Formats: sequence, structure tokens, C-alpha cells
Amino acid sequence: MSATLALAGQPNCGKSTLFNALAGFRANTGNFPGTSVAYTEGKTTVAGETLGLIDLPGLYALSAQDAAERVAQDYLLAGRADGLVLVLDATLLARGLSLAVDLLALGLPAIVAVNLVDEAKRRGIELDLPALEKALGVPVIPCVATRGQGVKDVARRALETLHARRAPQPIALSAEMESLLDEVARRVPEAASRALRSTPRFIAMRLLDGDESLRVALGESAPEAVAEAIAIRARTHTPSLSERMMTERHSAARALANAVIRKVPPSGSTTNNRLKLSRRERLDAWFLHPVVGPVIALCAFAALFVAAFVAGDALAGIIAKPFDAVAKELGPRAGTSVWWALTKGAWDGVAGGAGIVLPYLFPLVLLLSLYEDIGYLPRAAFLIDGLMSRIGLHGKSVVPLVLGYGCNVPALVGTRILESPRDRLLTALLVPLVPCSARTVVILALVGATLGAGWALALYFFNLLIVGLAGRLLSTAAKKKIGPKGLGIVMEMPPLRFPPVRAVLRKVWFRSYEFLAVAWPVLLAASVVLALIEYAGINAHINNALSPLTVSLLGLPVAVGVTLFFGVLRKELTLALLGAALGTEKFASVMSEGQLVVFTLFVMFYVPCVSTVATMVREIGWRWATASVVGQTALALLIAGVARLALL
Amino acid sequence: MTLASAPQHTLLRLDHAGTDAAILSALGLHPGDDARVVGAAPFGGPLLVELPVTGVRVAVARQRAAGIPVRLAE
Repeated sequence: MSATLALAGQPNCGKSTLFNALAGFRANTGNFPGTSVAYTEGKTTVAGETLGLIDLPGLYALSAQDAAERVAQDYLLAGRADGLVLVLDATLLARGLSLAVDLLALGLPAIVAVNLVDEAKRRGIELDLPALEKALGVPVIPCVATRGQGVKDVARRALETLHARRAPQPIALSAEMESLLDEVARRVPEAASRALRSTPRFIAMRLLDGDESLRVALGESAPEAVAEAIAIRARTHTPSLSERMMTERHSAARALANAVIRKVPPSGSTTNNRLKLSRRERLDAWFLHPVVGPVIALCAFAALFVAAFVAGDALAGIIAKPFDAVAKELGPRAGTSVWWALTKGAWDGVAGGAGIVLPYLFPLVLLLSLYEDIGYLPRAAFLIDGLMSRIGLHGKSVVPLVLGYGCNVPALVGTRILESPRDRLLTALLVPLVPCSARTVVILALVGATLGAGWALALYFFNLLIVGLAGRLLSTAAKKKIGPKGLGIVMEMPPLRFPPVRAVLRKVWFRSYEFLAVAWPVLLAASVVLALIEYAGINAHINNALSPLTVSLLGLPVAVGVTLFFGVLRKELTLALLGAALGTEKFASVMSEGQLVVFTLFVMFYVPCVSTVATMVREIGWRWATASVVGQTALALLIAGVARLALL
Repeated sequence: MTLASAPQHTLLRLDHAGTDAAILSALGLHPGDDARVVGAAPFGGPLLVELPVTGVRVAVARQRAAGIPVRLAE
């Protein structure tokens, strides 16, 4: 690979969408700040040359407020990129340019991709991009990443810029600030600048801004520059030098933006375009209304599961039939030889994925993707922040918690959008309580399909209640151990956007592919192993070992033990293997209604899957991860035990 | 007057400084900018603050908003 390009920009400017258009679908996208919380690597081929691509989490400025911003900042400051694609939102040019003041000062060969030019046009914003190109001294390319417009130009110009090794010209600040920068910059030895792969000007900017991480990175390589920066900062009090630099950045960016932006009446069919805009605004007003908004949020939440259930049930009914017919034929033969046992196991694995999991997973992922791409999640966070505050949590916690309904793993990583370590830890401890799509499939296919959608929905609301209570308990405990709550939410509210159908479908495919490529093979393998241990009679030992839990405590059939055992690998396995373990997929014929509810409640709350546990260890450390697993299992035992007493 | 006590839909001038200034400025709310409170979340939730010039909207917790001085814009 010849060189690596980093895609950087402010949150929600479309970096990941541009990255996906360049590298194929790899990065998660969504219409809310903080969609990307870790960097994603990819590659693209331009004119026969392969370029490495890095999609960095969005950062508002080089003064990281949360863990996600820190990832981007650390990557850029580590000097690992050979070039930069700075992505700007055409509708928020001045704000994006204030980040450009810092990033272009890095001195890396750079291009600027101005994304969302279609939305800017609709809002009556016309940009003089040649003037911007001249002012910045780097190629400026308009694009609409969601539609793939301008993407090839971005790749081509990026390659040309890398070859030409053309560094951008810095955005000038006031004469006084330039003189201070010069005082520090001329004391930065060339070796130090080369080691950090940044310009003396950039180093001076960061030192004057009080960037401790850069000071650490410099070590003893630029003592005079560090001393000078400390001296300048010490003699600048009110406003502080950091505040002055912030104002300077803003002024320079605004002056540049004012020089290239022309507000014009919306082009094209003016009436139609205005109508489109005002429809979005009207819809948004309802979404954010203090009374109607929460009602819509409740309906949206209920719709997510009812639609997933109705569509999933219909799909499962169609898909499962042919699989069931073959399984019926294989059933009696499985005990006759090891090969038949293997065949039956493999078939159960295929049938479990295609006939039970996928039909429910697909509609759920589709709706969740729509909510993400439209920009509904930050609206939900806004509406629910007051309630969350009362239980001691942060409104922004809603975003990872809702993402948890898709998969707990990205939701745990998504807690990086929370600025305070306390809020991050509490949210990360709550995320595994949220039923992910795999557990949702269990709820819908077991309780929903057998007892009706009302029961399934009741379980969801019960789950919400438990998450709320657990949040309250944890935050009370945290007050004593970790410290009080922060000052509360500050969050950008992105405009409502209606993504192209193609983009939504690609995202659904991307998410479903995770099941197809990762979960399904595990399911298949586990199903084969289960068939083999059944053939060898080992399953009876596992079931007997777990019988104090399954039979004595929860009142379930002894055969479910092995499914709970394998369910720790992937939650879908509990359902897919339940059919194999019980010898039928008509669960109601071998388990009572009460047993189905008790089993589902236990699966909903017991040990998270191995991927979730591994992510928890990475995000919050093994001590908290262990506490979470133990606590969750105890909670599952308590809830399912109480349900057993009430229902069986 | 603070952002928390300011009347809704009235044009205000932001006058903040300190730690919150950096966070708000990064989001596009700079001292000296005009802004208005265009909504409030239920259950004592955050305020929705809009910058008329750019259209940027930011949700700001009432507790934070109470620490952001504003005055009526001319």
C-alpha cells in the first residue's frame, strides 16, 4: 500500500458515508453526532494505485471532550497519516473551517471535501469553492457522499495531492497571535517537528492552547519552545490564551466562510424546495414537542417491535416451512449414525438462522437503521434527558442504549460519546441489560409467536423499567463511589434527513451481514456440536449439571440447560438450539406458557454473550465487566425466579 | 439574565466564558453570537438553542444554561 489518507472532520459531516463510498461499506453511519467512536480502516484503488483509508471519529476541535474525539486527536497527533481528507459540511462551513485552522496547520498534504452541497443548495446556500480553494491552497471538491456524487473526484485529487506533496497554506490569525505563534514556532527544532510529522506552527498552536498530550509527545525535544509557550500562557490571563485562540479560530473561519458563502433564494422549483424544507421543519417541531414528542417516541419505540414482530412472524411462517419438512425427515435418523447426527445438526443450524433468526432480525435492523439515519436518536435523547437525569443518568446515554437494541457491542463502544467517565461507566453497565436483536428474536419468536405481540411488548416495557431501576440504583451507588453527576447534556441536534433508499438498504445489508458472516457460522458449529453431544449422550450430563438452576429454581424442562450453556456464545443459539434440544420448533407443545415467559426472562437478562463481555473488558476494565456479568446473572435469577413463583 | 431564564423565541446575545465556552464554541455557539431558545424538553429536560445565522441547534441542559449569561440582542 503506498500511502494512508485520514478522513477527518466534525461529527455528522458525512465522513463515514464518504469513507464507505470510497472503500466499500465498512464504517457505521447515522445522522447523529458520535456515530463513529473508533477509527475504521479500509482501502481504495485510484488510477491503479492502492490507498489506505482511515475513517476517524468526528471531532469538533483539537481539544477532545470525549473518548471518541480523543481517538481522532491521538491518531492525527501520532503522525500516522500521510495525507488528510478534511470533510466539511457545506451547510456549516464556518464551523468546519474553525477545525480546518488547526488541521491544515499539521502541514500534511490535504484536500477538502465539501459534503452535503445538495442540502446547502436546498437551503439557499451557494458556495464559491474556487475562492475557498485559493484561500486554503488545497483542492476543494464538492460532493454528496450519500449519492456518490463527487466521490471519484475526491479520490483522484487526493492521490494527485499526495504525489505532489503539496502542503496547505495556513489560515492566518490576527497579527498579534501570529507573532506569538512565531515566537514559539521558531524555537521548535526541526528534529522535533519531523518526529511529530507536524509543522512548527502546528506545534506552537497546540502548546499555546495548553495541549498536555502534545507536551508529553514532545518530551525533551523542544524545551525552549515549551518554556516560551508556558511563559506566554502565564502572562495572558483574562481572557485566557486558550479562549483567545478559540475566538481567533472562530473569527478567521467566519471571515473565510463569509468570503465564500452567498445566500441565495433556493434554486430550481423554488416552491417545491421550500415546501420540502418546511415539511421537515414541521415534522421536527412535532418530534421535539414537549407533549406530542414523548407520545411519538413511545409510538416509535413500540412500532419498532410490533413491526419487527408482525413482519418477522409472517416471514418466519413462510421460510420455516420447507426447513421444518426436511428436519422432520432427518429427526428419526439422527440417532442411527454419527453422519446422520452431523447432518441433522448442520441442518438445524441452517434452519435456525434462516427460518427463525433472520426473519425477525431483518425488519428490526431496517427500522433501527431508519431511526439512526433520519436523525431520530438525538431527538429521543433530547426528550428523555429530563427523565434520565432523575434517575441519575445523562440524556446522551439514550443513544448507546437505543443502539443496544441492535447489538450491545457497538452500543458499548458508543458510550465513548459521553464526556464524563461516570456517565460512561454507568451507561456501559446498563447496555447489556438492553435486549439486543438476538435477544429480541428470542422474545418475538418465543413469547410473541406463542402468547401474542402484547406479551412481547409487555416484556419490553418491563425491561425498560428494569433498566430505569438499575440506572437509579447504580447512580446512587456511583454518587458515593465515583462522584456526583456532571452538569448535563450539551449536544448538537442534527437536521432531519431522509436518506436515499439505497443507502438504508446497504446499511441493513451491512448489519445483517454481521449475522451471516459471524453469528451464523457459530450457530451452525454449535448446532453440529450439540447434535454430536446428543448422539454421544453428553448433553444429558450438561443438562443434569444445570438442572438445579433450570429445573429446581426456574421450573423449566431439563433439556433447556444445554441451550443456555451455548447461549453464552451467541444469544440466538438459545432459540435456534431450543428446537433441536426439545425435538420440535412448536415450543408451546412441550413448554407451558409460564415456562416460555420464565425462560425468555432469564435469557433476556443472564450472562451477556462473549463478544459483549470482551467489549466490556476493553471499554470499562475487567473488574467492572466481571461485576456486570455477576450482577446481571443474579438479576436474571431473581427476575425469572419471581416469575416462576407467579406463573408456574 | 441567563440562557435558562431567557424568554423563548427572543433573540439573545451569548456572553459566556470559561470551561463551557470551549464546549459551546466547538459546537458553533460563540460568545457574541445571536441565539434564541426555540424549545424545551419535558420533565425539566434540556433547552433547544438555535443560532439563526447558521441554523445550528444545540440541546443544552438547564443546569448548564443557568450558567450562561445572555442579554437581549439589539
